[in-house]
Amino acid sequence: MARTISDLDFTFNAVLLEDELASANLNFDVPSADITAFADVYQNALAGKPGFNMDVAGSYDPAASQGDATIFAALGGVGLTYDVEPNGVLGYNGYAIVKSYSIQVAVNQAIKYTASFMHNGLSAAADGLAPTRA
Amino acid sequence: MARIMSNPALFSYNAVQIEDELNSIVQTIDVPAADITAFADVYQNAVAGKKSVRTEIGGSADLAASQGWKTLFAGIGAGPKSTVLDPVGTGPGANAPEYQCTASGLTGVLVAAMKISLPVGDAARYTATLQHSGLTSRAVA
Repeated sequence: MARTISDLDFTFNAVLLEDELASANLNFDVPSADITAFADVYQNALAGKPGFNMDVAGSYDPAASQGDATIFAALGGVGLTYDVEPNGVLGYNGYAIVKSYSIQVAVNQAIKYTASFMHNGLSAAADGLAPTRA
Repeated sequence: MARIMSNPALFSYNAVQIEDELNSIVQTIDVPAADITAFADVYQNAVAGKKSVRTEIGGSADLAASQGWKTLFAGIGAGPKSTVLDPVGTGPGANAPEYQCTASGLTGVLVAAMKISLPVGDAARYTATLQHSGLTSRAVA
């Protein structure tokens, strides 16, 4: 019955990003393969391979070795290490590619960014292993 | 841990500075995730594809010569042009990157869409979508 305040720790390529981030969504999805047969009363499915995506948003920091430089350099590259801990203690780690990166500049607003990452294994070789929960 | 106001942001299209008309700039880089999930994989698996950069801008319409609307309008169906986005407004520098797409051959920025809104009793405004072709670099010097 624990209620946990969000206290995100998030690193990507060993760069700590939670000092820029204000929101994160961690999405696990599992494809469901339909196996419904004529004799079934209800729709019926089997679970496929899980996927794990991370969407983050925060304030833009263009300094060297901060979020912008780190994420921009990873675009189109191999998976890099991530470690995400929703409560700052327990979470998931592995390797992820960057799927999108968006910089938002609006008058009278702080510069913001969003980024999406997709887990692809536990090594840069995209081995397809599950994230480590630690 | 910087938090930076957007007020001094700079944006140019085909060497024309149009930040004096704009109030919104969103530059998005999408990377296709090519599915490589195999039977032996435990989780869904992907590798990164080729990057695509798109910039969406919006602001007040300045229809004068050599200003935003006319410059962008001239870019419709034309060849790729150069753009520079400087969110911090002091770039290029170590802590102030410029995102540059420089016209050369097939590289540059294409006008993908333009829209002008003319509500009665209100300012004329426009939005434009710019599709980058080829390299967009992050310049810090």
